[in-house]
Amino acid sequence: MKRAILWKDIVAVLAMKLVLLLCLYFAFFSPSHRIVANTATVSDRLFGTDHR
Amino acid sequence: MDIVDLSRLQFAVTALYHFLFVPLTLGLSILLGIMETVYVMTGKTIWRDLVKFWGTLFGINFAMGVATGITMEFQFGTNWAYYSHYVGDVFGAPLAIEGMMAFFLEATMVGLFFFGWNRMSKLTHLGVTWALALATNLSALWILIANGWMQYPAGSYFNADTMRMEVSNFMEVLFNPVAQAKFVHTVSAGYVVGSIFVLSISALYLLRGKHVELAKRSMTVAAAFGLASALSVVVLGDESGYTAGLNQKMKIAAVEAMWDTEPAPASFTVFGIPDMKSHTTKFEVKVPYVLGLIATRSSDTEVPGINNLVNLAKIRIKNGIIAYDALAKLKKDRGNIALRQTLKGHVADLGYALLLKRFRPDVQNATPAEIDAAAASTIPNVPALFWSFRFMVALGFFFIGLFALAFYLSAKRRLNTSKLFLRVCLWSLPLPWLAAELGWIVAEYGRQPWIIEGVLPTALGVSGTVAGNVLFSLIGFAVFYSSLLLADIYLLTKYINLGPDEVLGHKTEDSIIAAE
Repeated sequence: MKRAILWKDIVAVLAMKLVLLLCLYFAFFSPSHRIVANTATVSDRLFGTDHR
Repeated sequence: MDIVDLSRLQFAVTALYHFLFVPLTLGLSILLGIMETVYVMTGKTIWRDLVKFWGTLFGINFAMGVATGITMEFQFGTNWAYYSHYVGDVFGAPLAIEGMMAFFLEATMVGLFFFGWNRMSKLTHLGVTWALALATNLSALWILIANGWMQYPAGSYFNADTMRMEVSNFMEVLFNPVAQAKFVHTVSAGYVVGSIFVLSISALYLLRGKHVELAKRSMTVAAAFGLASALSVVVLGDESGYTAGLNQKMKIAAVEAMWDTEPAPASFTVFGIPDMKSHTTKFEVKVPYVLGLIATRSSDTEVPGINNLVNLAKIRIKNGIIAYDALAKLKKDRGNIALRQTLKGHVADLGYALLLKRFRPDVQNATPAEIDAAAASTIPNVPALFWSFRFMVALGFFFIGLFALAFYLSAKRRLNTSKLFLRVCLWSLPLPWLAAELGWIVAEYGRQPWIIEGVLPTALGVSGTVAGNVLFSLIGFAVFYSSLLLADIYLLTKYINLGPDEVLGHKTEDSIIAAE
């Protein structure tokens, strides 16, 4: 009986984790939030005028 | 805070949270293998109960910890896009292999471990348990190969046409001495975490006078395995420090707060208050010869000091400017053989020229003052490293003492005779996690200002996305990981309090009576 409760607890937490991860991904890390990084942009980064 | 510091803080927070789950999984997986081996060898069912009970706690931690590392991969794409492009050819391969290991091999073995008890023979299940332990450790291996390459970028070269680091020899990446030393040191630290966890929870049961037989057997296994692991952590940590000296002399000098090169063999500073402004260490307590002997394993090799390494950095920056200038001209004249030869001759110092980007965009025109400032920026936070390292080492020696005492009491069959000893075991529970996190602070904070040692400064790896996004996603991560951590602690506490009888659904002491 206790084993069934354990699996219920784990499934509940995994579901919570999945929801939180998806929220974080779509809010901040989906492709629309990424910049383009390729040979040209890295060149600009290293030789361009933007610097810290 | 600017975008670079926010991105660094976000990665540090997620990595440190992630590593709260990982070492317990590493340590418990091996302990389960040892306990089940005893069960198969002796046939005594109490050992099966031990495996199932600690396996339940392993399962809870595994379920909470799985995929917590994926948020770092989110960040590689979004916050560290330039880094990902610059080194992705090298760094991506071990990460991809780790993903395969974790999601396929490890997850499969976890499933077989939990659902295979009544479906396979004792020996086959034992094989599954050891395969689970092996898979868990192999996952760690690939991550540490990736991390080891960041510390010592072996087996790769800079391709001026693609503007990225590319693999020249995968075997050198795989058998990178820094990565191998870090791997064995890190997994040993995980074994200490697992052993202290079992020792502490067993001490709790003995203090309460509950599940005594199970707790005593668990403590015996944890004491023996923990003692071997704690000794290994210290020895392998020494090896890790020695290999770091191959390429990260500044990290070693900063950890030791050694401002100037001393005559060999250098002394070890046990205590002191490092001052970044005056480049001195106040109230030093030194032990002669020890650092030189440990760091170089010889009595006549010098350990370079921070000020000497800064002077060396100035020379490398000037060399790097030549490489940078050749690379800039090559962009406009790709077929120029002379420029390629010039770049090839100085490319090892290209990363040092990139340190100047923090001070001016046209690196070629850097003033002597800017070169001095860039060279000074190679000094990491000395007090933070000095103290993190010393607390970590002190905890390491404390664990050796604790496990040695536990081993002695176990051999004398007096484990539950001293309440003080049991209380010390119980209250030691958070300490191995603290030591492991301090170890990562030394490794990663000590590499600054580099994201890839000597190759790419951290500031240049950052995407330059909107700082507000990074700040809000950092808050999101803090909420996410805190929720998981609280859930992990809640579930572990709940099932520890329920105890093995409730968790397994039968009296564990009965299996001893049945055996007798």
